[in-house]
Amino acid sequence: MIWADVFTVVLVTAGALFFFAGWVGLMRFPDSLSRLHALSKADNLGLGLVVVGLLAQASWPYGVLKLIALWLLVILVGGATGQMLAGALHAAGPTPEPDRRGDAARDAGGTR
Amino acid sequence: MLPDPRLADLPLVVALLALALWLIATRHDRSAIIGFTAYGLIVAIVWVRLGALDVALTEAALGGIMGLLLLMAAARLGDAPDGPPPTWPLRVLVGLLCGAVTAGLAVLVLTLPEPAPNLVAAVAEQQSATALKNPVAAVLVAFRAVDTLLESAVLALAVIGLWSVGADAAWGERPRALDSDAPDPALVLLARLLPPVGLVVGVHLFWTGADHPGGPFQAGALLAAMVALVWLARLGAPPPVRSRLTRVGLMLGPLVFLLIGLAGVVAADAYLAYPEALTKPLILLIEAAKTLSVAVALALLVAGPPALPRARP
Amino acid sequence: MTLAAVLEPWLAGPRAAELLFPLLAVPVLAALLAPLLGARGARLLALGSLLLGLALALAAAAALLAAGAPLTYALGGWAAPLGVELALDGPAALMLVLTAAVLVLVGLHAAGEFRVGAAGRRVTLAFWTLLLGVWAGLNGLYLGRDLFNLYVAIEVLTFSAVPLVCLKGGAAQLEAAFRYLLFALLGSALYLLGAGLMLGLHGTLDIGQIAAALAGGGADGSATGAVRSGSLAAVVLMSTGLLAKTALMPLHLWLPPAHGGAPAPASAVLSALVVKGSFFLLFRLWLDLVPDPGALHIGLVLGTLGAFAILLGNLMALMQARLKLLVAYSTLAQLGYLFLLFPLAAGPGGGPAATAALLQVVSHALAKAALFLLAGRVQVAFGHDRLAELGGFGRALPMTLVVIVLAGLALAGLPPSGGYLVKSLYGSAAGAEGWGWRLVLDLGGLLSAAYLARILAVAVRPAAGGTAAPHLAERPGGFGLLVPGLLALAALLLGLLPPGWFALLDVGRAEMASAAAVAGAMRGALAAGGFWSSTGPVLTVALAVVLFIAAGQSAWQRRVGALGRGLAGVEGRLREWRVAGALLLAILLAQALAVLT
Repeated sequence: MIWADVFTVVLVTAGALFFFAGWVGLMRFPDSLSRLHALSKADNLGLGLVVVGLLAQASWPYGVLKLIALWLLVILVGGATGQMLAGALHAAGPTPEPDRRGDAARDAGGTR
Repeated sequence: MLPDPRLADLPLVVALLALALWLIATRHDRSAIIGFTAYGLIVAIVWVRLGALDVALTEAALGGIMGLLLLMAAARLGDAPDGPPPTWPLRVLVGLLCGAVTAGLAVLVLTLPEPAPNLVAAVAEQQSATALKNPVAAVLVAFRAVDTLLESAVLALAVIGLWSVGADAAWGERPRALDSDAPDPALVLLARLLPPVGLVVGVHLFWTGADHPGGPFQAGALLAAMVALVWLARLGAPPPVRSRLTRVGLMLGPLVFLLIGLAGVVAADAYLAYPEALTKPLILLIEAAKTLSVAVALALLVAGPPALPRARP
Repeated sequence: MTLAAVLEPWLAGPRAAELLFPLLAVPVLAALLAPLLGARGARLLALGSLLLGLALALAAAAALLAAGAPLTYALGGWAAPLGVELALDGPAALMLVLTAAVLVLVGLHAAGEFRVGAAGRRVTLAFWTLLLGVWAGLNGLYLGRDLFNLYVAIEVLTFSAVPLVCLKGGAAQLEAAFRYLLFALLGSALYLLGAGLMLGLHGTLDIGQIAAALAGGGADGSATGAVRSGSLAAVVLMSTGLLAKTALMPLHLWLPPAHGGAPAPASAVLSALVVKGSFFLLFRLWLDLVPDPGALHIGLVLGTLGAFAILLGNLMALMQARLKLLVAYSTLAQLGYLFLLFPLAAGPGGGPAATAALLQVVSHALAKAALFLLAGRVQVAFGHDRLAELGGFGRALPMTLVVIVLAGLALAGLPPSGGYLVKSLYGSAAGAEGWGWRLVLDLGGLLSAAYLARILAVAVRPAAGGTAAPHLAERPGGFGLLVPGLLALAALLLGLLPPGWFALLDVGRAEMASAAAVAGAMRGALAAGGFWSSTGPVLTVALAVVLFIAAGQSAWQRRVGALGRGLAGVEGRLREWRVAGALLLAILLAQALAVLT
């Protein structure tokens, strides 16, 4: 099963890289919408890669189906909350608030 | 040679400590609450790593609901003005006291006997009498049934206590703390798609709790979250507090538990004992009623005290 | 077959222990059913089940006396450590009967006020349901001997007691309830931490089994040093949490607003019973769980705090501007007396100290329930309870004043009241070396007499507008004096009960020898010399206070006033969150030092 393990390691590592990139984006991007964008990338693609990587290790059929269901759920919830946050930011007005950067970033991170 | 596998938990420990310190240091209510929710999730992962899946599930499920409650409270209160900052002698004193207590606790934990004396063997030996394969469930519903019974009564009493802080004029009305003028369309979509999934998972958690991690509290918390989501999206509304059906749902769990427990003295030689032939069905009945009551109680706790409809401008 | 013959197996036979679980189950069942019946039904159900509960408590006490040894019951047939056991001994039986009796009386008194027609559905339903919840929690505390089971009972008690504080629904009441909730939950967390550590140390939560292991009677011989000091530290954590819940000064920031702001019958229950629940658990921990507590210095720490509470609480009561707050501060002082148990029980002649503490619980519960109900009566009659505007209220409500004085005399410790018994038994436990504790006891009694005299002086002096009595908003019916009168008389005449009755306290604790101790204390009380030596100083102080208040404003009186305001300022600082939090930690550390050195 060595090839399955290699497959898993490669894909999970790639997924972890996306998460890391999402984290860097969360910390470094100047305004809330960009930070949100970075986070959704991590959620959708990063988690997707991790899930696909783990599929090689999961039992057939229920383990595999559970992992896929998990991914779909996160996409649904992440997408919806991202939309809601963006809507709230839009309603609050276009000006980024430099002094409250930390706060807004944590908002985006914490409600996931 | 591979490094010590315990090192894999190091990031978890560091994150937990860092988040805990940050939680103490932060001065903003909202940041503290969000941090606290994240802290709860990390604690849940720590429980998984320690092999306590039941605790992890409870922590994750209840932690989410707690976070929602706290965020709603913080949003309502706004940024409360702090009093005058404490004088520096007081700060130093409190710091020293906290340091001393923490150090004392640390020493205490490090001197605990290893391995800790425990009841694992006793539970394993007696578990067969309960017809349950999940030892945690056996403890909760058989060995320490009275504690579980009283805990579910506390939950029901807490709802009555919450209702009692409403205004006299609003008595009998429905709770309105979750009401918003126009829920976000994305939220409405979520509230349409997620609850069916949540319902299935919740029932699964209840059903599997007899033999695997899970059980009424975790299932009830998940179901309550789904109900709260529906209420938040205004696809439904909390029932008025005068509704007898709601109150029956709230009280049914502890009530069924208590009545079966009282009957035990006749049917099975002791209060809170189950007759041998009926053990499994009775336990299932108790757990089903409790799941319902936990879900109703937690959802009602999120919904707040009864309130009058807001006057339209 | 007669009724007695049918009940025989339970009252005096092998099934006596089966009475224990119903004592817990009846209040829980009633509290769960009450909201289903609605407000009207809840009131009737509560009153009915309280009467049933009183009968059960009396039956359990009778069964205990017949058995002559503690009763235990393993729930579900699972013995400790795997299962949870309930147990009934003398002190627990006393508390069960006292609680049921006080709740029945307060319930009957409140039945007129807390009904749908008078108070509305919200208050009626909440009051009766929560009253049942308080009762369930208290009974659980008395019967429990498993540390986690006791924790759950405390939670039932807290979550029922807190909303009682804000039944009236004002902003001040809500804030008081919130304060109470937060501090009580802090106490719960500390208690739970200690209980968890105890499980990790001993693999059992049963108080009896832990005590046996610590005393060296465990299966593996004597406990090692590390386990012993770990257990003591765990007890200290639990003890600190319970001190916060008992509101022992200086951890009292929540009590005055909560007890002063709740509706009068709720205040009566909170002050008479709820704070005693956590004290009873402290009694269990330090006397039953810890082996040989006399060898530790813990008595000194808890006793010093108790003495501080007696002195400061009484002084603050003397200065309160509102009648209900005066009564609330008097509760703080009276709670202090409970904690003199710990140093005095450790002394050479310490036997009577435990009897004294339990009698203080009874005596204060009766007298304080009466006083809060009467304060509520005054508040209803005049629409407020500000002492400055109540001048001459005794002329308008003479009988109310008489009952207030009766209850106050019981608190001040005049023979043959329960308070007298307490002081006399504590005094004999202290012996000659314990003169410091005796001085505190005497000063406390004199200060109680002083605030009683202050109420008296206010009650008889001319009203503000030159009229004889203040304006009555509503004339209360004479029927409402029945329950406070009964309670006050019971407190005042406690010492006249046949001494043999006090043998109930000794079941499972033969070393207390309560019956003999009470008989000894009462022998001296009613002889002429003994009577005047306890009554004379009280009357002198009372007279002095009345003269002081009647004399008006002179220079030295203003100086006394300034001194009092200074003291009130210090006490106000103690009630700040940050100060109370620091004090909580300091008391935790002080106890830890006391037990570990």
